[in-house]
Amino acid sequence: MLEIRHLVKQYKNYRAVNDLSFTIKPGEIVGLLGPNGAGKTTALRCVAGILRPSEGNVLINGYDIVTDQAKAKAGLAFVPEVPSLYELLTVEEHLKFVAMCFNTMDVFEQKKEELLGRYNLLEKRNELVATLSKGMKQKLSVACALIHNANVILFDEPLIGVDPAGAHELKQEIRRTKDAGGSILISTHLLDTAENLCDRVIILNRGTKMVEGTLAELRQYSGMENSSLEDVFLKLTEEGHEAAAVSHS
Amino acid sequence: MKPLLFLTARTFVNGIRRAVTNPRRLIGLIMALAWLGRYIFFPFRGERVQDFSRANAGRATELISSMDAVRIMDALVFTFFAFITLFLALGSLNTRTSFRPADVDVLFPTPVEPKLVLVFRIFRDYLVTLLAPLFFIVVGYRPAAAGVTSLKRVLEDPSAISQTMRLASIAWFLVALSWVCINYAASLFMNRSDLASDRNKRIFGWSMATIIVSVFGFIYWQATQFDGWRDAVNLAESPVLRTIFFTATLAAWIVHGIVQGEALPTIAGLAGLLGIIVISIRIAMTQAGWMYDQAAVRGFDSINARKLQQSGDTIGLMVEQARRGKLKARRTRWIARINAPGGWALLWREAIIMLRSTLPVIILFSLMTMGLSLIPLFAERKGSAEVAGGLFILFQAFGAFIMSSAIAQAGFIEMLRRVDVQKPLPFSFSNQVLFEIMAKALLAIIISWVCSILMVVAKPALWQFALATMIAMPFLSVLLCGVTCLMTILFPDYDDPTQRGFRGLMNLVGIVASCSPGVVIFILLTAIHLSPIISALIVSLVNMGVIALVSMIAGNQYAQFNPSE
Repeated sequence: MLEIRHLVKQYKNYRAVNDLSFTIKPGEIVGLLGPNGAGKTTALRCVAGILRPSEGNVLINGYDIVTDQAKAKAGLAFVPEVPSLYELLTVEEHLKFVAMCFNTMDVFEQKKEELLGRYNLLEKRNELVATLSKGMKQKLSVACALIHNANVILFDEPLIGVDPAGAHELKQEIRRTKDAGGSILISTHLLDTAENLCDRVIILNRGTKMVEGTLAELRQYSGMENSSLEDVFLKLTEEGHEAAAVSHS
Repeated sequence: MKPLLFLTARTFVNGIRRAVTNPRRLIGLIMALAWLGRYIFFPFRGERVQDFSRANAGRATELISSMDAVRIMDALVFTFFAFITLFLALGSLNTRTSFRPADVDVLFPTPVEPKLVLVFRIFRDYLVTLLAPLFFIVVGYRPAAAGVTSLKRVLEDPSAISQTMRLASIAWFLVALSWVCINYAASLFMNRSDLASDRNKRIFGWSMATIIVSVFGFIYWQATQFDGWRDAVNLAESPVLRTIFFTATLAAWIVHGIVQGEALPTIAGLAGLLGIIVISIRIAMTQAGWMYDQAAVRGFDSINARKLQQSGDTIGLMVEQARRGKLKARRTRWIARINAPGGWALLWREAIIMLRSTLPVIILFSLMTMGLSLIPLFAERKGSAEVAGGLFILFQAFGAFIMSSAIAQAGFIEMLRRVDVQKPLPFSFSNQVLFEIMAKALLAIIISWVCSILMVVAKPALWQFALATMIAMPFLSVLLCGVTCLMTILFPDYDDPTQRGFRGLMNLVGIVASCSPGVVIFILLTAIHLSPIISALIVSLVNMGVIALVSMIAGNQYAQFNPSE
């Protein structure tokens, strides 16, 4: 379970994330939408423990990401938009390194074979990461996120740069994780992906949450009953609505 | 700790394996090892070392006879540590949170404690720092050994020197650790995003600069009043230097105390250094929670900049600075107003980028070339006008060469990087390449013309040589840039240090080969005392032919260039 309470990230005179609060329950997929520079990646990086929140709390399975970092991160996985990987490790070594960091070497061998097969990385297992294509690196990044049994998974633009087969497999994986009780947060520009995949969406604009809810709730809120998420999104971001009037109970 | 050790070990082993399985990288590795081996096994040769040894022996005898040997040894130890301290202290200005992008994406989201990562990095940096004196030892081993031999000859107890050196080595372990810890504590504290980090860094940077300038000023002022080596020893005992270089003082106390059998200085030195280490580690640990934040926000900026510096990618460096908001867009309205149709637009673009990105380099280069142009004026006093004029042309050619090898190369790398934008432009590939070459040569041409005009103003009698320069230099500059362009397209991997080195070598070979016809003809024409203007015209015609050939080859190569390969 992921719980974010009044999260703020301040850079000198610029507030990248402003008083963001939401909860993702087990078995739920939430999409984080917003125009460029809305603060989606910063919010995700704060949740992942990469950036330190200026104010507020991020609780992962009840553990605070700042004060109880190791326990909080034990159940967390993060897939960045453009993964930067250790280029001088082989694919297999990379997976092993992540497994060692999460202290899950007991199930590593079995999990590794499963993931290498699922993401067509078997032939590349002994190749250096530096030699992989962009799409392959993205697949390896996803495999690294799944090597330990995380129940909170953060995806930053997960379908960018992945081929159709890979994208299909990734969507399946996300659904499998959801069915297994995982809490999933997806930051994306692809509105149709959010529409098809997410149970709820949160629209961020200039660091502030504008609206949160299911697609039906968003339509109702924007007064566009039969419109697509794209139309709703454009209307809401253009109008610059104030923070969440629609609450998810 | 296990995952971090695994990562370091595998990265190292795979890096070596990768280097030896790729022939191009292997050549680079062998050359680097050979260079290192040459310095380790044959650091200095010849008689100079022997002379140095004899000269030192005389001075050392003179010094020992007038001063207590213990004071001399203490001063030597302090000076050694003060010298190294200066380098180590400068490290505190660097950002110690320079992580790789992969660390941010892969390592940071894992449950590995930041404090553990910090300890690992301190340990790793400590090992690297311990090796730092190796550089000085490799370079200065023979002269230092000669000095030590001289001292041994004149000291009553020569074994004290060996003992001092052993103890200094042990003290070095503590001094190195203390500075690694100080640097981490200072860097982590100063770069915290929640504090006024920019202001803190400015204050710290200026304080360091003030201290360093003051120390050098103080040493210089004292040195002007030196009356022999005795005063140098007195300077090393100065309370000012002993306070500023406090870690060197503590290290000297440890060595001095043990050699003299005095417990107090040894205990004070040990306690001082250990205290600094403990306090610094404690401060660094309290800041560890901010380490990931700093690294993610700005940490690997410096790594990118260093990579670009190493690859000689000055344009990329400027782009990186612009991205970080450190490069302001200079207004170039007068150029922006110019209408440059077709391929001339490439020249127009180059002029704007050059003024915006490399203005300091342009100013420096212009001043350097103009300074060189003054040399023939002095030469004319002693020799003939022909010699002065010839030297002027030679220096202008040298300026054009520097320009082509420094600025133009970075420009051509940028050209290849933007190949997807540029190739679809509506010109033939040969034309694109030719305009690119002309654009890169533009600055050298303008500078040579300005210098020629200045030369005519300063020495009207040399007008023929100035005019000859104005005729010949544009073609020579374009030719030099053309060869550089061709070599950059042939060896385009700017990330590969081996290829970079090889490209530099081939560039030199290419320049020699392409300029030889013009140079030979110019020498022959000068030998028969033909007018320099006629010679310049003939040489320019020859160079024009070579330019056409080089542009054609470069154009063909550019057409086949695929950035994905």
